[in-house]
Amino acid sequence: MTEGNHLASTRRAVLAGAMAMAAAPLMPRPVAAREVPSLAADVAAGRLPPLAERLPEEPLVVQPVERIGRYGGTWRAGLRGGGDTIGLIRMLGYEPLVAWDREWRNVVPHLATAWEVSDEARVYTFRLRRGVRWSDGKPFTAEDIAFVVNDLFAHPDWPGGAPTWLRSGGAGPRAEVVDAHTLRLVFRAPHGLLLQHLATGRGTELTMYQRAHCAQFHPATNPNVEQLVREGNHRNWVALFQARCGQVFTAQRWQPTIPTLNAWIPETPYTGATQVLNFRRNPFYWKVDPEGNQLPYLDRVSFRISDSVEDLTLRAMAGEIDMQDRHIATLANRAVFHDNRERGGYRFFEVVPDLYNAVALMLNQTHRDPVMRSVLGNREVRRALSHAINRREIIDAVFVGQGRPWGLGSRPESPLYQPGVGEAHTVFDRALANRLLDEAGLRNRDRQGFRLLPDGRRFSIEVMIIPAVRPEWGDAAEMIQRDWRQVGVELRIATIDRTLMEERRNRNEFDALIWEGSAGLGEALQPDHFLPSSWWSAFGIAWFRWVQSPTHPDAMEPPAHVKRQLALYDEMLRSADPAVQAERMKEIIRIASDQLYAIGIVLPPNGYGIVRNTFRNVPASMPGSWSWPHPGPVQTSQFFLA
Amino acid sequence: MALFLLRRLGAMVATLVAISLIAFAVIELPPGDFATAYVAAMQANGVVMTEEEIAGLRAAYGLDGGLLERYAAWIWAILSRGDFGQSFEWRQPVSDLIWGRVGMSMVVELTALVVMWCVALPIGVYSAVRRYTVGDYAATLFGFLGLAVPNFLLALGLMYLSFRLTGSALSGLNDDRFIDAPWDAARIADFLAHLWAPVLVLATAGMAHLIRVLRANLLDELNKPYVVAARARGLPEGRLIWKYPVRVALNPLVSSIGLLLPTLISSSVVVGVVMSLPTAGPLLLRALMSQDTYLAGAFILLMGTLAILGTVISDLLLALVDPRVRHR
Repeated sequence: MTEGNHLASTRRAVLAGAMAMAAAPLMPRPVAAREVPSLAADVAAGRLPPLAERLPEEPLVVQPVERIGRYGGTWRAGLRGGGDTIGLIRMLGYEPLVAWDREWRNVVPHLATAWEVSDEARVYTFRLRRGVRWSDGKPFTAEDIAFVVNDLFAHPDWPGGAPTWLRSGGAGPRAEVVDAHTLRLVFRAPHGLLLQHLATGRGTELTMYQRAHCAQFHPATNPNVEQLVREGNHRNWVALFQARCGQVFTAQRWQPTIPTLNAWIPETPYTGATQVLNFRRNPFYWKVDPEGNQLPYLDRVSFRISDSVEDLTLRAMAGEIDMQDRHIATLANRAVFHDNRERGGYRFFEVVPDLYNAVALMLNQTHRDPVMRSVLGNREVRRALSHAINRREIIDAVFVGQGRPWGLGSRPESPLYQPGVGEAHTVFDRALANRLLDEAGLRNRDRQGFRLLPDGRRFSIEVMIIPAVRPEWGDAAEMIQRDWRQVGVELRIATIDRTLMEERRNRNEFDALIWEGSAGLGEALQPDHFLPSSWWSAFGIAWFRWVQSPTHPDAMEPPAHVKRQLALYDEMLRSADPAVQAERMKEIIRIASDQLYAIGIVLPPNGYGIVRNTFRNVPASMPGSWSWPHPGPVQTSQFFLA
Repeated sequence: MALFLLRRLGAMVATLVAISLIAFAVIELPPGDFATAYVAAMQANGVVMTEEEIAGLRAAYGLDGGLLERYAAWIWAILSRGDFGQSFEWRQPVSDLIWGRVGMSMVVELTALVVMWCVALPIGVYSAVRRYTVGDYAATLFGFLGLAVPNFLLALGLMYLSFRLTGSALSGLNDDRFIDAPWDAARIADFLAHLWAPVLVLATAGMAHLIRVLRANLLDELNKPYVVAARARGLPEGRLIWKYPVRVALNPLVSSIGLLLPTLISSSVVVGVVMSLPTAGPLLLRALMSQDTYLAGAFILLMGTLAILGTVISDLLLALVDPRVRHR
């Protein structure tokens, strides 16, 4: 399992240690390491072991974005309202087994230094970084991860079981501890996308539980758990466990008493009463800069918890926020932030959204009504409806001229970008639209000029929208309604509650819906719009049913092009080779675009964040996604105050 | 009187039961539950959850039982051991979450109330006594402005002004560095330095109302014979006004004091959110939005209780003052 080793026979090391942080090869143990100034007193007093004993034998060497930083200072930012734990994971909790590089191109070593993938991607063997310690000084080993996989996810009481991203063939893996630093994950079916999923925000769930601490609250390892459950007045052992050891998406996990691998440790628990959440540095953090200085550079993190975006915005403008894009970086605020740059002493950074479209209108191709199904299922009808839309006008009126006409296809920034795919079928051409609709057998019209379906009913489409999610959807839908009226197609706009929308969608009782087009950068990780792969694949709910269970009464057998996509996706799961996966995914997206699974309007323009001029090592541009949980993969521990 | 008291208390308990049931039902009324609200919030962050995970969530929170079943369990826990249940969102006992915030609300609102009365009283009297003078017009204009400008706008304007003038946003009730500090002199000084802004915002709106009511009441009194008689006997004008007609004019306001009790917690919701105050309002709003049933339910129950208590107090005061009420 050495660096860059490709074994062609039965096993193949797909990616190994060599890629550590782009340019930096695995260096020999950096020397010249000096004690962190703010910890020196504790070390001198014997309250903390010296640096050499705290750092792992092979610390992760993080290449700074700009330059080697200096120690000290506080990162100030704002959290919003109830349990903004996703924000915390993104900023402070991105410590997965394997991580994304800064460009979102490759999966690179992190807590695992190397890995091996079996043929058919069923068995993954990870070699863990030696000598990594939890924030309480206890060693991090393969047992910690095996505990999560075998004792939590596989336990019948654990809510939801193994997370979906970790499943293949319907079940989670079995973890085998080969030795203290070698872990094997054995899957029932091929899971070629595991490494990518491990590098997303969700992957951090595997590395957030220290076995030594958490086993106290687990029935398999502590026979007296029932007593603790009763004493704490908990519902069951899971509730006790989550209260004392945390759970990935709850505020509870941010407690000083829970050992962590993160760079900073909370000083007080994060509760509903918290007004400011303060963190101090983890003295056992396992990353260093190229000169051997232990990270993080910043001693403290202080997040103000605010209920109002206006409050956070004013604080940011006043220079009281060091780096942030969450909550405050709205389209409307951009001009205000721009005007106050000098006063607040900050600069902008760019955030490239993981969206291929701001408006993705999906027509239900597996409609329950056979006539509607034959019409909406007709590619030429969908093409006509796409060409009938004047996208430029919508962009100017609704999106203040920002963004360009776009259909379904990867963003130009994506490695999977293919010229012409996103642009396909987006030219405004009313004559073509009319001709295509005529040829599709929709020539007859009623008195009001609307086209008639073959059975004599009016060709009328109801689109479900939730303006609460994105206020622009209502305006955009009205302009599409007007454009389609011009070619004789009626669009009825149903503003609907989210729960109801999901219910109607899942029951396959709808004509069309509008949602945001994801994903535009991390396509393989969220392929909902590209092939029937989840409940969000609204273009073909009955096909998705068929994928899940061909015998389900609502299932419909998909046509050849969908089956081709499913076969391609299957190849992706069986091959852990990123190059092969990229080729397969490209073809899947080409088919989705060609078949207009979604009629898109606009490629969303880049977002932004603000960062104080004195706050350094923040890249000028980064992706914005949960699959690349920004700014986590930038390595926030190398941020510093100049 | 004892019978009257008993009847009132009996009605109070019955109303409380009704309020708690309605509160619980109303929170459950919107489609979906905490699980769906949670899933929606997660999705806004790019985290997509599957049906299985959602079902697991529902089971973990005990959301799969019927409405009445859960209501009964909730009420029983409150009555039997004062347990208001767990907040879904924070996974903490509700009582750990609300009392600190309710206390903070009371401090802010009471201060606002005192300021409001202290300022509104003299202005109201002045504008009645000096009717149609420049001062009256100024007070009227100010009053209507205060009434017409929404609280949140005033708060936003104040925050922006503070940002332009001092370079710092005016929000919260303490500077960051004092928030986890003990309540020593320095923190109290800092607290007072922050308190004036929300108090100003909250007091302005109520003040306008108070001025108008007081002015109208007083105008009715000023022309009554007893005032003329007192004046004819040579009582100094100031003493006369404050001693007789003002006291009478205050009566309707005093009898509505009971209704102020629940507003001690609830009236600052919007201002609390905009100015990011650690008061009860923002927590209540969030609990309602995330359909955090027990947390929101506890708040509404508390407010209902205060409203009923207020009414009972008003009734008792009225009964003390006016014998006709208690004999009916």
